[in-house]
Order: sequence, then structure tokens, then C-alpha cells
Amino acid sequence: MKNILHYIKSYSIAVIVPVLLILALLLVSPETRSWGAVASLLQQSFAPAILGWGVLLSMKVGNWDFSIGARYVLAAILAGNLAMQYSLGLIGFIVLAMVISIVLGLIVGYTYRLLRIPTLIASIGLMLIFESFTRIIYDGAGLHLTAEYLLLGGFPYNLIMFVLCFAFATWLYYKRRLGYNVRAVGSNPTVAQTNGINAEKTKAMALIVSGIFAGLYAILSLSTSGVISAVAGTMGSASTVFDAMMCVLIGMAIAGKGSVIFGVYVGAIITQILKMGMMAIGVPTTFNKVIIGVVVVLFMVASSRSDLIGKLKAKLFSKKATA
Amino acid sequence: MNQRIRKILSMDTLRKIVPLAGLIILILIFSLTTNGLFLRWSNIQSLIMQAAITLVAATGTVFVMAHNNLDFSLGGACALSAVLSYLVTGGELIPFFLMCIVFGVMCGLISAFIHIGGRVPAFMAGLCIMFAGRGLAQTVSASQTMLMVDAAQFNQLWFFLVVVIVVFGACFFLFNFTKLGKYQKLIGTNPTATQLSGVNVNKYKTLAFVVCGITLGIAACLTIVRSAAINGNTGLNLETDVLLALSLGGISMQGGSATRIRSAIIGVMIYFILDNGLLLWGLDADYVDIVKAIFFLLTVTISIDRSQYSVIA
Amino acid sequence: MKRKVRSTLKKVMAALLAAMMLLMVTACSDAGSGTQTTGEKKKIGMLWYGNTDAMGGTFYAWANHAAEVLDVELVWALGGLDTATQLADCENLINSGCDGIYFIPMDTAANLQLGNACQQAGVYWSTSNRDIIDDEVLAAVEANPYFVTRIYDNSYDVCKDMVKQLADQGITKVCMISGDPTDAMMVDRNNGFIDGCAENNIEILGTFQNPTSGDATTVVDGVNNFMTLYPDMQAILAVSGTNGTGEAIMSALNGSGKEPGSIKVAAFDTFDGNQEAFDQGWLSVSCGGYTTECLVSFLALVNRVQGNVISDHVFEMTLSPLLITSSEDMQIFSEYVDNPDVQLYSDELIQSLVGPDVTQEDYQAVLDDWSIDFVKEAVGLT
Repeated sequence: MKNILHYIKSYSIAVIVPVLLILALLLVSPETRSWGAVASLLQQSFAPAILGWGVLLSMKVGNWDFSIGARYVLAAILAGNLAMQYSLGLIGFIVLAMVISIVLGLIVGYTYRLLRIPTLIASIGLMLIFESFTRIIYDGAGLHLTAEYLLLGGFPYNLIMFVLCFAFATWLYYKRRLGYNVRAVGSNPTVAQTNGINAEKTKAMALIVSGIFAGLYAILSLSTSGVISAVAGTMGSASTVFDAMMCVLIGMAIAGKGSVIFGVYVGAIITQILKMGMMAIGVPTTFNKVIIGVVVVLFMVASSRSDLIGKLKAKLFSKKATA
Repeated sequence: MNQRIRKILSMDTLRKIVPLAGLIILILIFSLTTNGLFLRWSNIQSLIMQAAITLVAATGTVFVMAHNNLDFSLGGACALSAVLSYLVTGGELIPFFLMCIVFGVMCGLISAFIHIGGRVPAFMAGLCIMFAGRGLAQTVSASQTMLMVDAAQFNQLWFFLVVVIVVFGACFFLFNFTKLGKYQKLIGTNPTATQLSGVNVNKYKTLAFVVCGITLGIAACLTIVRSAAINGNTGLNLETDVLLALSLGGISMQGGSATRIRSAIIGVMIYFILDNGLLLWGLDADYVDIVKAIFFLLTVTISIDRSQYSVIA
Repeated sequence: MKRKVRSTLKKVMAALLAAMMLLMVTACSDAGSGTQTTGEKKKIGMLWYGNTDAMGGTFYAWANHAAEVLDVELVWALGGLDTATQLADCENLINSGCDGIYFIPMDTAANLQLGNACQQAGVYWSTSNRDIIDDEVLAAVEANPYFVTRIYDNSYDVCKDMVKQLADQGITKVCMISGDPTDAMMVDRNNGFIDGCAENNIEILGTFQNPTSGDATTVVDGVNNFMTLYPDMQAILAVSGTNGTGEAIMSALNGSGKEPGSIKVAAFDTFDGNQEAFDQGWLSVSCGGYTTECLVSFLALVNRVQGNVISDHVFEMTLSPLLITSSEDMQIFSEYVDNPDVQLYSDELIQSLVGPDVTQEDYQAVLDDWSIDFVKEAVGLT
């Protein structure tokens, strides 16, 4: 009994906040009062959450990984064009996308390990190189998938894929040595190192494994939109990485003692609710960024100053008691 | 005699001189291979004016990096300061410049507040401010054009030189000869010991953000002088440019006592000389970024001081 | 022992770095280390936003081909989207020995800043695709003796026409995919749509901004949100279809399970599958074809750089982009317009536009000629 209560308590905030926000959205905009709207929101959050898990791994271990955006674009363009060129079908596309993203992840990981340079430099340097490649291969035309490759974008396939990815991420983060090492190195690399964890190896592994999530994100987002273009401008893919970081920051703040994997999904849901809500109210899209920035700061402050909130609660409750 | 030679050739010396050596090698190569185009006065002039914005911003960022923080808000804060000053001063030149600096300081203070008071890692606070600032600048510029034609008259070498010399000189003095600068390095090396020795760590961290904010405001002014207008793209990529430039200059990601303010000037010059030189070469535009990136990776590989890191960041 | 190995490694790497630089030098040094001035071959600096989207790739191909035909050298600086970057690129190009600079002023102030830089260096310049709306800037650049020509289009009017087409079909409720408000051309299109709707009593239910990063998933989500929030939406207006936006809109509509044609789309630019979308009934009105502006401005610049004076101050010209409403036109549009593999202007025509006898009327004639019929003739279909 106590276990169940404890379980519920640790997930309470992560569940209550999005529910409250959805209710607020339904109040504000009568058109959204349908299960269709809620279902749409939940489905829109699948892909960003998957990318978020990849970014989570990097952020938790203390890596700066700006290359994940460029990696998923390059993997998607290569895999999709090759699959169509050689008529490999959906399975072929999926396999290619995963293999190519893992290879790109290996490149980043090994650049970090062999050259022994900060992940910031390694990832920015490789991001520039990968972005240039997206503009060079296939004459910069990007990718447009034909209809038969778009199977996974529809319900229930996207849900199945999401659940599988969720399970994989949870297993990796909580049940595998890598996840444990990531969390240890993230909190204090020197202590972790002293305790026998090879911190640099863990960081390199995190870079490589984030490639798996980049590949999964490429597959799911392509199944929805069917098209991806070469990265325009220098560091154009950085905005994808920042958007994912925002979801992760909310997720880390909101997860509390519950699963941070679930927290990141909730973070993605919250971001999508904000976008839909802004559209419903009529706020210009550019203002979304401001709202999201402010919301993320509030979440992070609330989570790290939970001691203050605790004191406030205690004050309020003690007043009630004395009164 | 042997010992002397050994000392000169030691890793320590090598590491210290590599960023500078890299800069010198680059200058030599571009001078030799562009039929003297690189060394023409008009080219040097352009180089200085192009590099000034990043140099000014990087100089202030050194203070924050010295105490082991990263200010990621630079680009968005630049746009935000410019937009707010325009709204407040209506585009009048001198008040605009002053208000830019004021708002730059305010952005720095907000970063410091969220980081110190909210106990949020500075990088995350900076990221959110960058997001919010960029969004606000885009929203405001959508509803009105913010042209500052008057500012264009300052787009001259003397103005940029004066600003750069004053800012770099002041920061050099502050960083190396005052408590403000010295304590940054102290905090970066060991914040707990610093706190225990009676230094108000929070106060000096805040001061570092303030200095960063001042230089950011000045960088915003320079950006407006170059662009003669404010829009949602003002200050785009400034934070990544500054970080990249500082890393090229050999700065440590974790701050501490080895931080040198000269990393700012060496790194920024390498960054912009590379840009300039590759264009003078007429390198195929598709490959420019690849060459730049390979060069970044190699330079940092050689010049980085790995002994500072127990675990490489 | 390990330290010794490391320090040797560092020295080796330093030597490698120097060697790499030298290798790059030998590999690239003939790629235009720029003989200054008096060389017979003139050099034109091209500031261009990118060559990966339809118009970007098409102009890149057209300009390179024209340069071969006219025997001029081009130096490209890609990716500049804001004035500070464009100014830096312009200065670097001038310093590399360019005799002329062509660019699209992404922001009105770019005209002023780049124009001043060109004037100081005695280099000619021309622009396209943007009008100058600020009087102060206009006055300043008109006084610039090195400004050759500026060509712009009437996107605003065309957008209103597109809306009128929808209104004629009885549409009263639409959603809009708007453009980046920091881009003057998108502002024209945004206003064109908004004013067009106001004039035709059409209500704009919701708007979201087309992401500049080319993130197609955002577009799909946005269109899905439109359909969720506004079930009575009858049409979607899109200021841009390039960079994956057009395809993403179609993906969202096709995946929604709605009857094809139950929601109409009015979108700019060619995109993959626009012919299909038109035949199915989704795409109702299309518009595009601006690359001619860029080419004519470029040719006028080359003409001036080679010493042929048409006017002692800047002359302005205009272009009307194509408005596509029929299936036949759509077929020509999707196959031949904004296709980098199709040169719509012959070598003879290009050569006839550079020379001592060329006048402003000749250039305007080319701009006026721009139509679907011209495209048909150019590819040999009539």
C-alpha cells in the first residue's frame, strides 16, 4: 500500500501539471473540447520526446551536444534517398536510418575520445561538417518520401513505436549500467571517476547512444511529414537542439522522484499545449519562444528552490494550526 | 643549456604559444597565398570591423567563464537590449547607445539572479533568456520596422578601433589587476575554499555577469552600427561564435586560474581571419564550413590544456 | 614516458597542421586567388541566401551558366540572412577583387550599408526581389552613383489576387501560414493575404508562422492544429511552399482522412507533388517564379561592370510573378519553373542583354515577357 502511494506521489506533479494546462486550454478555447484535440496533442509530442531522450542523455552526463540536430537530418536524407533509390521499402529505410545515425554518433564519440577535446568543440565542429554534407549530397535537394514509407506516422503505429521507444529509453536509463554511469558522472565526474567509472568513456557512449534516439526521431518525424530539407545557413540545426533542450529542462524540473523519461514526455506535451494554446488565443508564433523561455525558467526555479516552497507551505500550515 | 632548451620545448610552453602560433601561421599562409590581397589595408580594416562585435562580447564573457559558468544568453540578450532601447529612446542615437548598455547590464543581472537566487545552472538560465529575448525581438520587429540610419555614420574604422581598445584595455586591467578579476579565477578554481576565506562569492559572480552585460550592451551598439536596423535576427549566433572563438583562443571550459583574457583576442582573430581568408581564396562556398570546422577541431586539439581537467568536459 | 609521447604527438600534430594548410593552399590556390583589377575577366561577387531550395538552386545554376556564356568570374558567399553578415561578406568580396556585387537586401538597411561599402570601394552593385520602403534609405541609395538597378515584384497584389480566387469559390473562413516578419518580402505577402481577406470578407481564424529552419514536422503539427481548432476552416493560405512546407501541408491533409478538396490550399512556390495536389483538388491556386528578377538584375550589373552605361543613376524595374489556376499551367509550372536543371533563358538571349546597345527597355521587356507561355516556348512546347 505504502509503495503504491509513494509511486503515485512521485508521479503526481508530472501528471497534474499537463492535465491542469490541458484544462486551461479547453477553457480558453471552446474548439478544443474534444478527445480528438487531446489525442492530437499527445501524438504530436511523441517525436519531440524521443529526441528529448537523446538530448537528456547528453545533458545528464554533462555533454554539450549540438550535433544531434544535424545528425538526424543527415541520417534521414541519406537513409531515405538510398531506400528509395534501391527500393528497400520501409524496413530498409528504418534499418538504414538507425545504422547511419549510430555511425554518425560513433564519429562524434570517437572525435571526443581520440582528440580529447571538450564536447562543445567536438559537437559544434561536427555539426558544421554534417550540415555542409546535407547541402552537398543529392545536390542539397533533401528528401521527399513516397507514400508507402509513411506508415508509421498514422495511429496506432506511431503509438506502438512510441511505447517501444519509451520502454527502451527507460530500460537504458534505469536498468543498464550506462544509465547508472551517466547519472553518476553527471552529478560529479571526479567522484565518479574515483569510484571506478571511466567518465570519458561514459561521455563518449552517451554521444553514440544519443545517435540511436536521433535515428528514431528521424524515422518518426519523417513518417509524419514525409519531407526533410537540407540545413539552411550555418548552425541552422541548432534551433532543433534548443527546442529539444527546452523539453528536457521542463522534464528534469517536473520529474521529481518519478521517471525522468516520463518527465521529458510531459515536457514535450507542455510545449505542444503552449503552442496550440497560443494559436487558439491568437498570439503571434514568435511570442511562443518568450512564453516557453519564461515557463521553463519558472519550472526550473520551482524545482531547485523546492526548499523555499517547502518553507512556504510549512509557514502556511503552521499558521492554520495556530489559528 | 640543455635544461633551457627543454624548458622552451616543454609541453607547457608549447601549449601556451600554440593559439598564438596558430594565428601567426594563418596570417602567414593567407598573406602568401592571396597575392597580397590579405594584407591590403582595406582588408585589414574590414577584418577589424567584422571582428569587433564578437571581440567585445568575448572579452566580457571571459569574466563569467573564469568562474566556471557559461553565458549562453548573449545573442538573445543582444537582440532584447537593442529592441528595448529602441522602444524606450525612439531611435535617438546617443540615448540609444546608453540604454543598450543599461539593458545589457539588466540582462546580466537577470541571468545572475536566476542562477544565484534560483539555483539554476547558468547555462540553462542563459538558454532560456536567449529563447525569450530572441522571441521578443522577433515579435516586436514584426509590428514595426526599427531602422537606425543615423547609426550608419559610425561604421568607420576609427570608431570600432576606439571601442575595442577601450573595452579590451579596461577588461584587461580589471581582470588582471583588480579583485573583480582575480576573484573570478579563484572562484573558478575552488568556490568552497573561496567562500570559506571570506570572499562573497555571490557578489563577485554577480559582478562578472554585470561586466558581461556591459560588454554585451556595447556589442549590441556595434551590431546596430553595422546593421543600421534592429530586427529578429540581430545578434544571431553570437553566443556560439563567442564560445567557439574563446575555445580557439585556448580558454579552459572550466575556468580557474589558467584563464587568460588574451584568449579572447587571439581566438576572435583566428575565427575571423579564417572566414576572411577562405573567401579571399575563392573556396567553393559549399566547402567553406567543412574547412573551418576541421581547422577548429585541429587547433583546439593541439592547444588545449588537458591538465586542468580531471575529466575532459 | 607517456608525457614524452604526448609532447612528441603534439609537435607532430603541429607539423601536420602546417602541412595541411600548405596542402590546402596548393589544392585551392588556383581557385581564384584573385588577380586584382586590370585582368580582362571581370569578377562579380554574389551574396546569396542558399542553393538548396527551388529558387536558390535555380538562380545558382542560371547565374553560373550565364557567367560562362559571358566570360565573367563569379565568387559566391552563401548563407547571409542578416545585414551584419551580408555586410561582412560584401566587404570580403570587395577585398578579394570583385568589380561588382549582386545581392538581395534581406533588410532595407542592407541597401544602405552595402551600398556605402560599394561606393567607398568604387564597385558597382545591384539588387533584386525587394522594394525600398523607407524614404531616408531610398534617398540615400538613389544618390549612390554605383547603384546600377533594383528590381522588385508586386507580391502584395498577387497575394490579393490569390485570395480573390478563393473568394470566388465561396470561401469565407481560412487559416494562414504566415512568413517570417523580419523578411521584407514575407511582410508584403503577409499583408497581401491579410488585406485581401479583409477586402473579400474572409475571416482568418488562426495563424502560425512558417518555421525558417525548414522543420517540416512543425508545419504538419500546425496544419493539424488548424484542423483541430477550426473544423469549419475552408482553406489554408501559405506564404511559402518551399523548403518542405508545401509537401508537409499535403502530408498533413492527406493524413487527416478528409475528402480531397474539402480544404483548399493557396500556396506560393513549386514543391514536390504540387501537380498531384492540384489534380486531387487540394491545391487551388499557386504562385511563383521570381528567379527572372534575379537574373535580369545580375545581367544589368555585368553589363555596367563591362563598361556599358545605361543610366547615370539607378533604374528600377518590376516583375509580375506567375499566378497558376489551371491544371495545364500547373503542369508547366511544376515541371519547368524553379527547376535548377532547366535553363529558361537561351545563351543568345543572355548575350543580347549585355552590350553597348542594350537599354533599360530591353531589360523591362524580358521582365514583362515572363509568363507560362514564355516558359512553354523556352522548353519547346509550342
